[in-house]
Amino acid sequence: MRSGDMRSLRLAIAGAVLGTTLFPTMPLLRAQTWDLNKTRSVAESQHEIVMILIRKKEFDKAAEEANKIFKMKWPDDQEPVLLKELKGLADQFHLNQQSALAVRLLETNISIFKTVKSKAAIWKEKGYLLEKMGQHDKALDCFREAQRLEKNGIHP
Amino acid sequence: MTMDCQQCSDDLTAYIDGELDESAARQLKNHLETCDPCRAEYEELRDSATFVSEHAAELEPVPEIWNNLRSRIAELPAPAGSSGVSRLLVMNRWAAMLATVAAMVVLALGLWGFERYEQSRSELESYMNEYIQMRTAQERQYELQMIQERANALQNEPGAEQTTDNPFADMRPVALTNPFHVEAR
Repeated sequence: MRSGDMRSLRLAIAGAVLGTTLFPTMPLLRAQTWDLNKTRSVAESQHEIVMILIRKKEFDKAAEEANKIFKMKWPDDQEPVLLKELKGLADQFHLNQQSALAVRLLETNISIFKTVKSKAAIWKEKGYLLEKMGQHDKALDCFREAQRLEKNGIHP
Repeated sequence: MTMDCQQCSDDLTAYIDGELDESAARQLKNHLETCDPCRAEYEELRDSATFVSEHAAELEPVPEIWNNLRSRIAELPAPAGSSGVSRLLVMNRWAAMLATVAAMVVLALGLWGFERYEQSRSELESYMNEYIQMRTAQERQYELQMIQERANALQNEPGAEQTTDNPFADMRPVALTNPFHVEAR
């Protein structure tokens, strides 16, 4: 057998071994990617629904629909996007003079966040909204909690 | 002026002690020379005084007397105006000193705690103000953006109605931007 043939045979064997090992995991990876894409797609639509309801001044309904986004099953690596969404929607309520609803939205959904950074960010946002609502002492409590989390890295 | 027996009896002790003036002493002496009962009383009193002065040094009170005296003093009611705490402090100087030191320690701890609280509150306020300033600036920027978007919409510019606040929209993987994939969805 020529050396070129030997190399081809070795490559074929290596390919077969690799294929046999990785093949069972491929559908799983594909399914996970697809699930995430589907979730994102649904969330994208849900976001637009919320925005439409806010524009129509149907704030309570908008808050209900907003909560649905965070009740969906999300992988951990999506936390930054969810944080952006939560803060963004809370801001939308606040800009439409619905700060109490914004605070409630933050309170309802903070539990899905796992990292200290996200939790501290939400506490700060809640404190900001409360300060704007004239509730200085409650705002201070929120910032104290955020500061504690950032300093100690403690999960409450 | 003659002296009666009653007055003589009253002045007898003073006479024996040498406390009467010269005139009174002379009158009493004259009376004693003429009155037997008063003289007898005088002699009895004089003998008693002599006995006491001669034996006073030998009379030492026994401990039982002191104990009895102390228990009687303790049974007496406290004078008005002295409370239990003040009596305790007066009676026990150590207790008073300890109470003073304890009060000073409590005061010092209170001041230290207050200072710490004020310091942490000041830190917290600046932490809070920093975030609020940042967010207020963001909010103003957003309001300006909204005003601009409304102005664009009024001018019917293309893209005026597009929203850029959907975080799910700008993070879709490239595969989802494929029109076939969208159709499949």
